[in-house]
Amino acid sequence: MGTSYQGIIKVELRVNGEKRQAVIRPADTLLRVLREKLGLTGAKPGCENGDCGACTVLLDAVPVKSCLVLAVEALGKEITTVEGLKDTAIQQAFLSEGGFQCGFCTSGFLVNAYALLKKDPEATDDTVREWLQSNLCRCTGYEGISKSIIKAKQLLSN
Amino acid sequence: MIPFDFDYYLPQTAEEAVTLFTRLELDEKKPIYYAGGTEIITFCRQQTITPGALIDLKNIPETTVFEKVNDQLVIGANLSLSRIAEENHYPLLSVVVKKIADRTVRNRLTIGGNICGRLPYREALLPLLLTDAEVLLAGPEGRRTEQVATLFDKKLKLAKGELLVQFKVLEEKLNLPFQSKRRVKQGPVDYPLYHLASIRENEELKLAIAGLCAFTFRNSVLEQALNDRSLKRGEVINAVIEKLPGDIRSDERGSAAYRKTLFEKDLEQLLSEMGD
Repeated sequence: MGTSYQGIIKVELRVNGEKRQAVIRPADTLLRVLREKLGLTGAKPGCENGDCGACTVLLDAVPVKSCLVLAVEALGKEITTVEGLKDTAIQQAFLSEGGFQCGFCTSGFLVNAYALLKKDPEATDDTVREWLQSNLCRCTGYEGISKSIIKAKQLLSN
Repeated sequence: MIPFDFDYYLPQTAEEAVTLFTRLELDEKKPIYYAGGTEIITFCRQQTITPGALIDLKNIPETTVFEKVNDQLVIGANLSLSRIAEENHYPLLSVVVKKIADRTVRNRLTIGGNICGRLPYREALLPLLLTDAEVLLAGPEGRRTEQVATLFDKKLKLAKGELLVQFKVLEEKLNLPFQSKRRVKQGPVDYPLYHLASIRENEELKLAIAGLCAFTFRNSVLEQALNDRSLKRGEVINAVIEKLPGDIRSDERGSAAYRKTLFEKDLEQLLSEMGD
């Protein structure tokens, strides 16, 4: 038989390698639970409409827009937020290449790019473009972001 | 945030999902089926819909298969568009679904959700219409298999409580020559002005279109015109336009005249590249 959740529920989420408890509603999005229940404010509520990608996290290593995922859907899965990326090549590259301006979109780009380069460290430009079309930068800092991706690939290949 | 509450169910089988739906419907809980969830969460946040219960279908194993069985490719209705494109068992379907939304959203969008959703485009339907695919359904009256074209004739014809389980495409049709042309007003991540998909089978062109009219379609009368070798190319294009099953749509993305002009060019290119 399947599972069901009604009302207010106490759940355990696996986030960045740790078990975290939260009291949630089935209607709570993963973005809201991460930010408001677990204090992980790296993922940002840019549009809450699935357009901007600022809320991107990984669910079992797959990028998702957490504003379009219910927290209950993430039970039993491994959630990775930007807080879980510790000194990765992509973060180093964003620092060295100026891959951010206001920083609001940055966590989404970092998480998505991290997942891409983990899956395909030698991703072609077309593949990088395809993946990162999911993220918008209103500062239009795309050139710095592109340079950061190239640098990250170099760091990984070394 | 979603400003109202609903219950959430995660059944293990299609029959369990149907039984849940029937029970919750009788209890006036306003159940809906839930797959990728991108559309439902958006509409719930906007309070365009206010279901009392979500029945999440993604844990039903037979709805996420993607494999060849005997002489058919079986496509689970809850496969993500990303997985469909990555595993690439059906090249035209891969090309079509890669144009829908963006990569991260496609990690959640399902083929069944794209077809059953409220948005009118249903682009994932195009390759299924072209190859006369079958669809397996489960509902309160049991299971049934239909041609996709029968299930979807201008609108989706599902009985209350029915859900999509799988699509099936004959293996011999998976690698036919094809073309996919999607026109958008701005960047690649946008709803389409229209999306044409075509295959060439036994020296005949088949054509399915989303977004040009108010509904997604494949039309035999239109295809007769498309393949009428007694006509010159310009005459073929005019005949196809005349035989569209509905008015060309006009909306904030583009006027009917704009769509028609682009469509004529794309038909010309299709005939040039895929015709005799």
